[in-house]
Amino acid sequence: MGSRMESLSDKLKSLGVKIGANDISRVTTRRKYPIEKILDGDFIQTPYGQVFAVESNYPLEHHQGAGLIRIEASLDVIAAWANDPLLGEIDPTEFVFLDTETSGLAGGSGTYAFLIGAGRFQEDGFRLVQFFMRDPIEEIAQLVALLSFLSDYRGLVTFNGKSFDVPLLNTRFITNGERPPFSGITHLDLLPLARRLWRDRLPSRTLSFLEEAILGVKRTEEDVPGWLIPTLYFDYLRTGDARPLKNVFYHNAMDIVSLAALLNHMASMLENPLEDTQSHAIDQIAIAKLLEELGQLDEAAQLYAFGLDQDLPPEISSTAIRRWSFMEKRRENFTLALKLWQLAADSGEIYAFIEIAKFYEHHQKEYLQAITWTKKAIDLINVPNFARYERQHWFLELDHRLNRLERKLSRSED
Amino acid sequence: MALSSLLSHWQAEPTIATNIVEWHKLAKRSARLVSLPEELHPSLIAALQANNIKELYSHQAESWRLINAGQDVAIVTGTASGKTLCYNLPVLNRLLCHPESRALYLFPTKALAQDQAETLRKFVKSISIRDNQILDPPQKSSYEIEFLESFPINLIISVYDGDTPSYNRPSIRENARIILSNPDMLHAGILPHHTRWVDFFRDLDFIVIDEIHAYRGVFGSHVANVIRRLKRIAAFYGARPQFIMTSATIGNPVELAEGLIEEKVALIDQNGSARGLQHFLMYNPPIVDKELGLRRSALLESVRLAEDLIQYNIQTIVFGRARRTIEVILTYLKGNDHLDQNQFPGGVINKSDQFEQSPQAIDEIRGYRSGYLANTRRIIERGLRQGDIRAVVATNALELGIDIGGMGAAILAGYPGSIAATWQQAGRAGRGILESLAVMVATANPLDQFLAHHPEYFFERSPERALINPDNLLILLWHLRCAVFEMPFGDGDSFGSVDWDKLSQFLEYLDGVGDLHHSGGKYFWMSDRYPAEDVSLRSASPERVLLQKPDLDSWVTFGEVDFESAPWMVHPNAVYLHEARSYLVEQLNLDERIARLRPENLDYYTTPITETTVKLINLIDQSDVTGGTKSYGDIQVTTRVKGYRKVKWYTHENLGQDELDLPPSDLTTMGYWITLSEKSVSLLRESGLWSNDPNRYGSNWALQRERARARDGYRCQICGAQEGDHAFHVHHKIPFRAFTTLEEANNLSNLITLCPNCHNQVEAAVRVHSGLSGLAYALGNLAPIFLMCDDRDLGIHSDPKSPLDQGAPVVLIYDRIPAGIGFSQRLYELHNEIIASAYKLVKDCECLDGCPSCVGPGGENGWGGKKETLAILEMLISKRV
Repeated sequence: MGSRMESLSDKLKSLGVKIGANDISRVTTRRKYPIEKILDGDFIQTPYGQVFAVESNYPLEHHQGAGLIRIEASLDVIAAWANDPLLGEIDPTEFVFLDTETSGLAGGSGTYAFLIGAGRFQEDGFRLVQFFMRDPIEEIAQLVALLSFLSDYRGLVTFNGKSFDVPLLNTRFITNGERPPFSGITHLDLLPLARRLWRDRLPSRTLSFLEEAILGVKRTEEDVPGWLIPTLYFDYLRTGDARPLKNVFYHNAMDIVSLAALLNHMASMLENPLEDTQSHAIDQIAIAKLLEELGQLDEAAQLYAFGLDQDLPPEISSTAIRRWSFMEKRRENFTLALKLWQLAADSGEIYAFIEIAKFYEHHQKEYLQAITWTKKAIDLINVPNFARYERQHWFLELDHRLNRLERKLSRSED
Repeated sequence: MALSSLLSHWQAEPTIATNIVEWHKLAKRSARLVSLPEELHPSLIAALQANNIKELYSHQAESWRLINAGQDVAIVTGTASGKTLCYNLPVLNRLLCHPESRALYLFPTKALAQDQAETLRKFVKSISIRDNQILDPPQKSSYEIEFLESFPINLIISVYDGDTPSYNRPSIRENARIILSNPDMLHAGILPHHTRWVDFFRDLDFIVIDEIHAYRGVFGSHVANVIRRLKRIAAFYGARPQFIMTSATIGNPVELAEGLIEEKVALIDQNGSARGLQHFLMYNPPIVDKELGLRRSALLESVRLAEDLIQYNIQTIVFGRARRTIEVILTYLKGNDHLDQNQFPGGVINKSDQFEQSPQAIDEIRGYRSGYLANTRRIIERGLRQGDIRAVVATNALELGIDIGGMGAAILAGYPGSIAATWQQAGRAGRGILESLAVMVATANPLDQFLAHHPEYFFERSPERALINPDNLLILLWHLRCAVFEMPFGDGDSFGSVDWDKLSQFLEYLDGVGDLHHSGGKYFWMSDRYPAEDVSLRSASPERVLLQKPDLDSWVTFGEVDFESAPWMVHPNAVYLHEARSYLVEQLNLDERIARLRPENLDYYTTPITETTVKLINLIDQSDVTGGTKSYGDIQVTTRVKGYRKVKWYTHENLGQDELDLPPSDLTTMGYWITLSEKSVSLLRESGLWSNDPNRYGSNWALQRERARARDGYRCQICGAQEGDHAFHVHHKIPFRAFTTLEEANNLSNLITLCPNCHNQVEAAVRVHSGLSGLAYALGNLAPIFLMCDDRDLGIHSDPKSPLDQGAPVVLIYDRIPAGIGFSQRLYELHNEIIASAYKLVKDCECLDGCPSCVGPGGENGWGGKKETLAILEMLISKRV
């Protein structure tokens, strides 16, 4: 066998094959540092063999950074956002908080979830179990053990789970000939909501970034960066040395506990956006937009006003004014809309001039006023440092409007 | 009728008639019809009748019978014989009878899949209308979802390829009954995500692989492995789909089909469709310079014939071999005034267009080749079907079953490279039972000339065999990585015909490099890579270089070339032709995969100059043949584009050359080589026909050489460098062997001192064509006739002192594909036949001392080496043939 091997690998080398890592050495520390000596866990028996699992329990009042993990706030707004009423009805103990550590990010049937962490609220605390695949032959046992943890659950909470963890686990179940346990289950993925809330304020919306920026969590030295995790697992498979995996378990546990705390934080800031002292003005504008879309217009208006009262970066305040003004226009609150457009016109927003002109033309039939505002806008776009493509964009519209108004004016004067 | 009057005109026109070396008539054939099978689903019978099909051609009925009997089949009938119905009928029947059943159709290109999806949907729509269940599906046919609503009979037909928007994909996976895709998508987009296709795979009854002749060489070897993976995944979900394949006429359709799917295959090749009479002409342009063996350009002759056809209002397709040929023909066709439309017989042209004449006329003649954007191609295809386009100049991109309707005539400007492709291109002419014309215009290429002189070789020889080698080490290795990714291998498993013994070596290797993890009797993929991303199924690398031209103040992309071709097609200062416009390359950035070109009117084109060195890696087989030995084995070939030549349009005058600084590329592959025995060389030497001894310059050489150096002040007479530790070279201005006495040859006036560097360059410029390189030239050009390959798939090289065989004289032909695809091995097997035909080729050539059609053009001093080549061939020719 040895000589044949050499000849194939020599041939491949001569063909210029360059794959895989170069110096792969097998170290025989397998017996010295097995996972059960590194982490305090148990072997769970399943019909398909045993699987190593680490259980941790957190009190309900546990704080992840400044964030309480117990779900105090109502999930009603989140349920409305997700268009899933069930989210508002499910008892917190029926949710499972899930996160996986995988052998890669590419997805597809060759990516394994070697560590599956699942957390669930109980009467007396938050119970987290991490199911670990010591070797891919244990995968089916790992999956079956997860199944029993999921028993009677009704909802799933993840971070990016809709496009990553759940499809990946589906694949794992299917390739092992098992039915995936996620179909028909309500799934709350916090990533898209986080994007909605913090797109304008935070440079990144990864869980670890949010955890630090929103909850103020400081992970210990024990943590590992996510990109390193596949390599740590591959090394473990080769060497049997489980020591570096301790950090991966820590990373996974932190992710899940943060998930609970983040959910509680998001729910409470959506439930009481004005009272939340931690809320940032930019966040309030983001919430205002979200509530506006959900049709909660009074609350949205209140938040727009509240947010605009504070210091906001110019792009954000101008978007907020614009959004708010159109919202008021739609519900025919022209007094307020006009006030907002005037505000916007003061900072040179062309659309505002047009809206004011429209208002005078269609509602007040004051064509002269409308012409004045249109001309103001034309003067504005004709200043030399106005961007050329923008000028082209506006000019046709304004010119057209002016012509029409002048026709109307002359007709009304006739 | 236009055709017969044009043909009489040609027969009466001596400048044409005398060039027609063969006038072959392919008899018309009447249809063999069979009544519709009784067991057909009533909806299908109704749909067929709605489409005016009341009977089946005999080959369609035979397909129906064999497929329903559960056989894997290969259908090989000509162009426009109704091949698609052969598979659509049994597949649709099954799908109508079994509401769960699904089918996968694979096409070599995305365009073909789109084409077929349209045809199928139209047909299925007629089923629906017939059943009175739906009135009319929406016209915006691109959204699969709409079809979902349109067909209550639940026969959803969807294209699933790289262009399918991701928001449509889940619904297609779930609902489509027929998926149309391509092997590349199956490889990179479907198989690695098979768990999303559980229902599809579980109910997969049919796999249709259309146009399998496209799956030869590298591409075919890849596809065979993709099918191994497909079968493995289908088996996991409990399916054993039946394969239906179609192919153009090739020498070994069953062998290819069985090689691709590794199952026994039944052949259906008795074409029952009708065909009109086809005139098949072989046309050899007249000799204009006998000494140099120069013929009139095949391009110009093709243009001339095409012009006649256009004049006679016969819709014509002109096939050219290379992208550049297309552009040249297009330029000529568009540039001439032949489209003065008032001259057309019949006067069908609207006079009011007179002022717009020129641009409109130009739009009636189009080019079609890879490198044109897909959108442009669709417009051209439609124009051809509707008859708005009167002539199209195309590469073999139009060889595949893209529907352009039947043309009145096909002109093949040069032999397309294989008998199979020739029939296919000729088959583009012929609309139903109407008479049609195909003309093959021979170029100066040796293969063309061989066929022009031996037309019987073409008409009597069966088309080439399509070769694949699914077990090519590299290709197999890459696909095994993909296969493990898709599903772990267990001890004792096999992969297609790769048994455990061999498979395990690969798995151990992959385990060793850290891609896999072996435990519990299984090999698991254990790497964070996505291995399908590392493989492209096409011989060309997946990497493309974008061609950009200036547009206002930015650069816009107007075409692309594959990465491997970029150094020789779009090197700096290359002239690149696109849509009959010439562009000058300003810069080539291989790192960023971008070439920037500027439109420029130039009176020249460029050809690259390359430099090749060869190294032996592993000798696989060697045996004695008449006059020497033949061998094949693993070799390494290093090539570098080191410069380019500027050549003037029309006159082909050399306007000078320039150097380039481009990185070399290495190719490890298989080669076949012929070594001349010492005895052969000494026999040749005795008869004065061995011209590869560089240093036998006679008894006075040492003295004359010293005198020349002294005269020249020990300086290179070109660059002026001064001799150092080593003596500079002394060069014969007129080659030594051109003289009868050594006194004349070694006369000081014929000698000049040169540094090694300059000497190399001078040698290259006035390089005498030795018999050996003449032989390499002839063999390399003839070899494709024995293989179904493009001449670009083979490399040739000759070396009087070759490292391949301990410094003996060698002629080498190699696979231009990493690790080889089997061409070299096949040539090794066919050695005697190749030598015999090379001998015929050179002997029968009318030229005096070598020409592009036999042993290659003579050097600038007119030394062709024909005699020498013939002498070597006489040494090598087996007395048994």
